[in-house]
Amino acid sequence: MSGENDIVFEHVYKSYDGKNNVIADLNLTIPSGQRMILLGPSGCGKSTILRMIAGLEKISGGDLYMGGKRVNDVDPGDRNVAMVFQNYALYPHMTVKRNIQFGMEIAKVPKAERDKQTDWALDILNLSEYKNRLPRQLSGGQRQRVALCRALVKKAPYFLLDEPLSNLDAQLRTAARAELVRIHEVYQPTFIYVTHDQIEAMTVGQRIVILDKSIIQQQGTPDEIYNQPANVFVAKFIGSPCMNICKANVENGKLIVGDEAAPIPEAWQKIVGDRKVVRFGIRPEHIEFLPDDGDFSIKVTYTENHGNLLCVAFTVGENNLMATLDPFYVLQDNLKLKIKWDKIHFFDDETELNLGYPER
Amino acid sequence: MKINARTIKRGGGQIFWHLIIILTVCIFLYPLLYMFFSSFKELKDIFTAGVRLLPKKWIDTNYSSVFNKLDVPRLLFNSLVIAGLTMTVKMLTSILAAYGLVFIPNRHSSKIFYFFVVTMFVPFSVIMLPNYLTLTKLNLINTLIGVVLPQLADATAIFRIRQAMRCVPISLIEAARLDKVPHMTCLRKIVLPLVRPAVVSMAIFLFVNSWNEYFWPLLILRSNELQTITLATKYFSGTEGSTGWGNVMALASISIALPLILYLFAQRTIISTFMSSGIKE
Repeated sequence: MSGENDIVFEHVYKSYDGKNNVIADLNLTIPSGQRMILLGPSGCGKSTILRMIAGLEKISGGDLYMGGKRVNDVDPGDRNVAMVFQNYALYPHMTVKRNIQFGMEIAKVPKAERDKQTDWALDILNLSEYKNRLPRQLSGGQRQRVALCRALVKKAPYFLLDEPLSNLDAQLRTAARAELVRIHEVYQPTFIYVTHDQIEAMTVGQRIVILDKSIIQQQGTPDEIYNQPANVFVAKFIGSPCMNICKANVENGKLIVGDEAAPIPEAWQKIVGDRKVVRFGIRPEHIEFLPDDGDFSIKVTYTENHGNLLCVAFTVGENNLMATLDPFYVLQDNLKLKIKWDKIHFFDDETELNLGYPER
Repeated sequence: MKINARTIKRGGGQIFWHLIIILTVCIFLYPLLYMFFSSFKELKDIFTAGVRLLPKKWIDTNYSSVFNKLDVPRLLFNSLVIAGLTMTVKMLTSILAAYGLVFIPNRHSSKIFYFFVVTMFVPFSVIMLPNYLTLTKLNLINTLIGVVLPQLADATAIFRIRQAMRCVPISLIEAARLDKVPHMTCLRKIVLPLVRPAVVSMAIFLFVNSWNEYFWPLLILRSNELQTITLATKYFSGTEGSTGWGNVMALASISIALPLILYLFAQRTIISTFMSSGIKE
């Protein structure tokens, strides 16, 4: 299945010095009209990928196709992309209106049409009353919206965003995320969004690509990434607090942590196979404590009440874990960790890859 | 200014720094005032022992004789042509070079830049003779163009404007590239407005430098109708101590009037651009 505005990377390399690859053998298809998130820690190469799409970085090897056309040597101005920069890149000496219209002026759009488009975009982002202000007279959130307006009026089939929310405070971010989704719905461009914030990725994205050390770790829907992480990196990167990963031995169909053992259900035994050591992962919200009747003894190290939930840090054997519980939960003595087998993930100890799931 | 802002909270320190500033201003102002007041003094008054700023008797004959003996408008015009042309073309070449170095970089940009910088260290006396010989061959001795031609590019100006342009966030230029903005438009509408303080101050600096130049025009210009206002001072310098200092001071006062007025006007722009520049945003 391929749409008219797909972006396809085929064996793409990027190197600045000709020796070390920042991006190595990247193969990625960004489907037309979708909100695709490039997510990863800083330095993972996600911004470089975005800038290669924009044409602001030259491609050192491989091919990049946009809308079926090879664009390796196409000038940024001819790629028909709109971009929102991390620092917004608003022209400081131009008013909001002029900032939005400047691109259209260059493209020789007639004045009446320019004004119409500008008013339309300003209206969508509730900025109409600010159109004669200079960027420095606006708040961070307003500037960010002006940058969105400027990208919006281009009506480009590709909409690139480079960490557009990273300079906003937490409250504004929540509002801005919803705004981004709304903007995408306006004309459904191919939306490529770079962020290191997993919540942005999960809420804005229709598909997420997770990168680490220039390598794609996993791609999929937010749901897939959250519920079936491909490896330990993805498992720990997505979710807050992050997934608990414990090392355990396997002996005679039993999972052994410290001196305690829990029998592994048959369906899982097939997946674990004859491994002697595994890592199992369990999300903080899936942890259940039972008095006496659980699988592993725990030792609570500290608790934090966040108001809406209770965070409990505890140890099992030598592993440090975190649980998020109901804020009214009463921590009794003799509590034991009860493994919920339908919420658990197993990873290979060496490759750190997900071993898979039993048929449910 | 920075020193002031920092010490403003400590009352005593503020007075101290103000005194230093006032003293500095006096040191810089004294020769100018001396020149100005001496242009209204009689010759014997100028040579009176002791430091006395104001004339004993105010006379205006120094000025009238300057205007009688010399074609002052002509001298001003020649100076204006040379300084104006030198400044304009130097600014043009420097701005274009700096833009290219900063925003259209290639593998050799830094080498080219360092080559420019090296030329800053070549003293005028070294290139004076080759330039003179070249102009002779081009038949440009004793022409205004001859004065201007060898100074149409300036490494210092390129250096200074390049530094200013490097402060323009690169993302602004990238945003422009994505909108297919041609380089000349990008330079005119985005970069120049943002580096205006640097450009204006550089332009004034170049203009005044060229206006005050004495030696090079002296070498090139021979005929009377091509003399500049600065060169004209030699008209009143006699060989045996018979220099008409009053006249020289009057001429000098006339000569600095134009750059001074220009500066006062431009200063307002410089300050207002400083205050409204939003480069950091």
